[in-house]
Amino acid sequence: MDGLSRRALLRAVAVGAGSAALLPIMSRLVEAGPKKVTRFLFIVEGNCYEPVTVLDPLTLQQINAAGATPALVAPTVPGQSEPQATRWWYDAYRQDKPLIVPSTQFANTIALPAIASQGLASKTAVVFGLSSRITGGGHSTFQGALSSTRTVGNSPGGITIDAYLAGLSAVRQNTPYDAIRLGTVPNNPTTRLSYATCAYGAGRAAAAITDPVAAFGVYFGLVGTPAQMTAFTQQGSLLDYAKQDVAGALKAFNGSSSERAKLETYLGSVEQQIATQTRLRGMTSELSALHPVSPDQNTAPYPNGYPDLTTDCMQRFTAQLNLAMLAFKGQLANVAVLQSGTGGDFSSLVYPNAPLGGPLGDDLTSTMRHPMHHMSATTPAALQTIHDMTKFQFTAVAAAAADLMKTPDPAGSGSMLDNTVIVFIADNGEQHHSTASEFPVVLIGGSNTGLKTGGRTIVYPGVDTGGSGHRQVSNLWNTLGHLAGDDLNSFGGEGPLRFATGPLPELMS
Amino acid sequence: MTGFDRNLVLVLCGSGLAAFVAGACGSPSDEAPRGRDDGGSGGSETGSRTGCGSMSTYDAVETLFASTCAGSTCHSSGPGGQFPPLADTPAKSWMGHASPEKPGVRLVVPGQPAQSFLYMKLSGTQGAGGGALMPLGAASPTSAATTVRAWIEAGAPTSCDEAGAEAPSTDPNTLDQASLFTCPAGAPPRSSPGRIRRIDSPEWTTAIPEPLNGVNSGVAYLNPFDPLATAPYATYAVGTTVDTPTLQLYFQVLPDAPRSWDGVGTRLLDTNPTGDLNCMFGYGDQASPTDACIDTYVDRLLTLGVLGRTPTATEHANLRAFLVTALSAEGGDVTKRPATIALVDQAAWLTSGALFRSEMGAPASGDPAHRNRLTNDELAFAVGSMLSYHRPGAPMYGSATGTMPQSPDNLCNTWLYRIRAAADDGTLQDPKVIQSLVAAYGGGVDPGGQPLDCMSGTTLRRRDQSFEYSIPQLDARGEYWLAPRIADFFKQWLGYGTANAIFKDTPGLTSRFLTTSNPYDSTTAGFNNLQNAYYGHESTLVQQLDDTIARTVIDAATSHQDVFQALMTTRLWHLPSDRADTNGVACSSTKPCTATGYGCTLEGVCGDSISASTATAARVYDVEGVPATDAGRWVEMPAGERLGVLTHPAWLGAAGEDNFQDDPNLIHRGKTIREKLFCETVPPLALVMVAAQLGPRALTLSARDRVHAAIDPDPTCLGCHQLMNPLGLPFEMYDAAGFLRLFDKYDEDAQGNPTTLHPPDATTTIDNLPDPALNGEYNNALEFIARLATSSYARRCFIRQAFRYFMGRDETMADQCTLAAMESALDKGSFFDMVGTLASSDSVLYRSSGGM
Repeated sequence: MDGLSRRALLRAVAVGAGSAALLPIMSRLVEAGPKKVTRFLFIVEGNCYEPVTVLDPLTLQQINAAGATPALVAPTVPGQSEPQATRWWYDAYRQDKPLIVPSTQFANTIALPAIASQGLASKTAVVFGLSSRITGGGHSTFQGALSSTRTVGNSPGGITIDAYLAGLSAVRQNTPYDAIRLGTVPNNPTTRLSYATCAYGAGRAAAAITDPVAAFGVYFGLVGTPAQMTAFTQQGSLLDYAKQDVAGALKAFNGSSSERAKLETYLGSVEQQIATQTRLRGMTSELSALHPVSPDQNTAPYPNGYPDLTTDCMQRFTAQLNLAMLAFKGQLANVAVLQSGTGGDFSSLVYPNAPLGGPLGDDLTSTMRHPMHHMSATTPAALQTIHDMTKFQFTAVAAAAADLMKTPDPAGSGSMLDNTVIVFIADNGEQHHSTASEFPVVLIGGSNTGLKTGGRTIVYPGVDTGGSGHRQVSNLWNTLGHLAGDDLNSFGGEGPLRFATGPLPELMS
Repeated sequence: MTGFDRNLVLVLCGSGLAAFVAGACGSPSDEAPRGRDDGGSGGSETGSRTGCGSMSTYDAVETLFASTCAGSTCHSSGPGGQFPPLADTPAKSWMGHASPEKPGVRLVVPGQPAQSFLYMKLSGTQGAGGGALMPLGAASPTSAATTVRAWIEAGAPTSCDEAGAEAPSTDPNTLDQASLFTCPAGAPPRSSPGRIRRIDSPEWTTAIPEPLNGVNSGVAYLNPFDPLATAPYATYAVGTTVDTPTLQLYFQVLPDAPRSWDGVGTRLLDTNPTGDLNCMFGYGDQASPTDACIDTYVDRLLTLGVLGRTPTATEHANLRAFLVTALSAEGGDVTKRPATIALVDQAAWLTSGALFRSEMGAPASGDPAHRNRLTNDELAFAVGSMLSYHRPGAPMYGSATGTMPQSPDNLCNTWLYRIRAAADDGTLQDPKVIQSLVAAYGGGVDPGGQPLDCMSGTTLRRRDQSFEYSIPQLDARGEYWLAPRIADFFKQWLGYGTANAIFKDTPGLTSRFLTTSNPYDSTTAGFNNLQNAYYGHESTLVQQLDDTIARTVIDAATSHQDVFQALMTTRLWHLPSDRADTNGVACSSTKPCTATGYGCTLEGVCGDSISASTATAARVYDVEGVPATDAGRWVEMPAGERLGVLTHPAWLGAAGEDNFQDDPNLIHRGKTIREKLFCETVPPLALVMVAAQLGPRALTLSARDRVHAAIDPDPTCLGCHQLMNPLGLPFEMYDAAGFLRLFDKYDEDAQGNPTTLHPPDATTTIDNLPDPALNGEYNNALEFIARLATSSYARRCFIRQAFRYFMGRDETMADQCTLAAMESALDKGSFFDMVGTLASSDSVLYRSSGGM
């Protein structure tokens, strides 16, 4: 019994769950050098976001000047969605070296004006040309986008980058949770979890909580409504009871080691949860100071509140995004994922209250995303709408980033944004029926982590152009690994099909 | 779709591992001997086996640790020795530990080499931060990786006893099939490894208010007790436990658990006929429940609500103490009682007894082989779990009369009650009793109209569904039913359970209905409605195949027809009506409909107006005009179009996996047939690199054209694709969604307009099946299936698949006599007889101490 407890405790401490006795030691370790924390927020969009939405006129001009074949067609008015404009072009830039545009005109892009208006231009980078064909493309690559593997039959092919980074002690430090995983799907009382995007390893999907109210209860129940606080306390007594029961069962068990391991694992899980609760209770005052409000209790007009939380997927997206920001501020975790209509949910999202820019009728405001993408080939209003959705999401993300920029980091030097890398990527690639030939990426923040943004746009040679400078999404994940002090040359499933190992030096300061 | 649309494909070729792949699959010119199916004369076991002796994986790792790892001081247990101390300390003492280099990753997870850090270190998959490849100094993985992998896959036995003959082979498909079905004279006594099995998702769901299909409010059916993704069937117990993520997710749904037991119109109250629980539920003197009241409540909750068996004294005492503490916290405020009961119920549902079912057994008195035998409680679960997710004898949701389960056939109160009763009186240990119970509960025909004695005004239709909270589309379902687990076996064996969930783009595009890409196309709308049943009352694609299989299995049992042949050739299918949305109630001019919104239709049943989606619902079957009556929905499919379950749209759509009509559905369908009907293994994608992709999509190219163009240039591709493609090509007569094709590509003029439609090419040449009688040329799927239905080799594979599902483990050579008995039962009787024979075999009744 004692041995078991020690083993479980060691395991819990090893993954950062902490214990009251060892916290001072861990604190000293953390405080031994300059305060440094590295956070990662992954925003993963289903249905893609089209490269044209984050392309500025200057970059388009320079791609064409480099001999794009065929030349990209610009909209007649910069920043507008127009059917004749080129929507995706992954094989157009054919040089051997990446094209670097030093000063992106964010205000003249379709989806990124908020980057400029929020003062984030110098802290943002746009990246084009990264492929990930190992993932398979299509409507969704499920966990493929974040793992650089292929998900087959709902079984992920490998660990996703969020889970990998969350497992690094340098990233997790002594936060109670390894990662916060949230999702956006239409409101449905029977849908609270989504296993679409993240994975702990091959064959082991990780769940995101897709109900904003439930997610709030999980992460802030300790300081939430009276009912949520009661639930938190009761969970403690339930865990204590479970520990007593499983330990007793183990003591009496006389089966084989493999069967015994099943009970040992369960006991270890219970003990780890107890350690997490202990850690959270020690953070009560800090969490209370954040004044968290359950999303369903916040009915102020959007974007400050979520009066249509049950019907509007954009409000659900923003509520989850702000919950992730709150979790960062509360130091609950240093890795968060916000998935939006990913996996099998690509079809169903609706945005009835979106301030759509096009001449849309009621039909389109209630139309789900999948048919709207199909209609976008022939219906300009549908094209405008899907691009507006992307713009709307980036506007929310920019607001959240700006908030972090104004917030001194409680765990590191500078602002929270200086220590937070925000990665906005699609879960399938460049288009609705993706070929996984390009995953456009927008990076915000992270200046203290070694990430180099600087308002630049970086265009890597396309996957089919034969250029030696082509790079893959796995190189981006390797870059993030380097920011966290780790090397990810073997991350993912590309093996010999990897074009080049190492991080993306253009993104390293 | 645009000119940029392409599709990556499951293509196994063109990589640095091509040589390995070719070796795994066999090159096109390979003529390696295959297992014979000659009745057992001379067949040999070709697969690796475990067993304590020279072939034992346990012996092999012990040798490895001693000879290699302990060669220096590296992994000694003495001073300076590195963790783990492989040399001097038994594996049992360290294998459960986490790796210091990779916190959170256990050194050994039995059955799961990919999750075991020991294997990662040897195979070079330890990743960044995982330190050096072992053995230290090796530039690439050595044979030690293979040795350790085999050991872990075998359950990581740590003693000869654990590594008994029942330990699994690494891949059961490598076993010689003819030998597997030969029961040798003087065969040693059989048993299965003793194990504990974590409760699975539907078992937990059915123990609380949620119905199986999750249509009730709440999220209980999203509980985290899913099977391991690597398990061939959801019933497998290897490696199933409650790890930290699972526990975190469990707390998300745990509050749903008490809802049926909190005392208000719920199952536990139904066990309260004498009112002896009133003291807890809010009647009488509830403020201070007596000791007797508390004991009664705890016993009732554990026995009928959570454990499904009599609790041990410790289990009872622990929960009692928890309840007493919770009651004292009420401070005399009885309004807190529901919350108290909810808390106690959640505590009960966190116990190991609730989450793990024992199949360890107890020493069998007088058994010369010194085996354990399942106890009565364990046997009740083991037999019950072959039939249903429900615990034998537990009260059912929807009980309304407040009576204890007292009648074996009272569906209002219980299900599988006779199994519980036989366990209680000990007669369940008699194999004949088990066989009769499996036959009794295995399936049946309930056309409706039979009144239920316990629910006023309710009639019985579909016994398997009657106790569920909500029964969607029941009126439109077939009247034949199979016990839930038996129905699920067919669903998992054939793999059609996902048919409702896989998006099909422009279904019927190449059918005679010429579906357009408009998402509101009527054929598309009709197909989508078959997947989501949003409009009308008709059943879904999956339910339609469920019902078709149920009738086929039951009719075969009744008519003494071979069930495998019947499944492969049935053309009597249950279809959705496209005539009206009805509630199934008969009507006439003198007997008008009473339901709101319903009128009497031409078919003589009450129905509402036909929606566009319902009116086109049967097009995927190439059928129109299906009456909305019980008899009318049973349709004899055209002989030249469909033959058996492999031509059913639910199977075609699910096995094809893909979204588009010209996607590589043929590869995926071929893979399923190879693995599920011939018990041969196609290496998973994880073992290969994916270099190739299909070329651009165009209606001038068929799926066959696109696949050929991707694979033919690289001969290494054929190493594996020869196992799949020839078996999938005949099914190109159907599109991705299962529509009968009118064409599979067309020629076009300079303006891109179609000129000539090409009839679908479903021809194939098969030359590598283990049943040589099936090798040959075929023009389409119908010709191939007609011969497949007569294959004794495929039929034996079907039996092996049933063994795997119902036993929750792979078969081994130690199961020869059980498999032979199953085949004999199927020869002489029915599918139910075969399952009954398995359930009453020594493979179920007896246990060794080895786990899996």
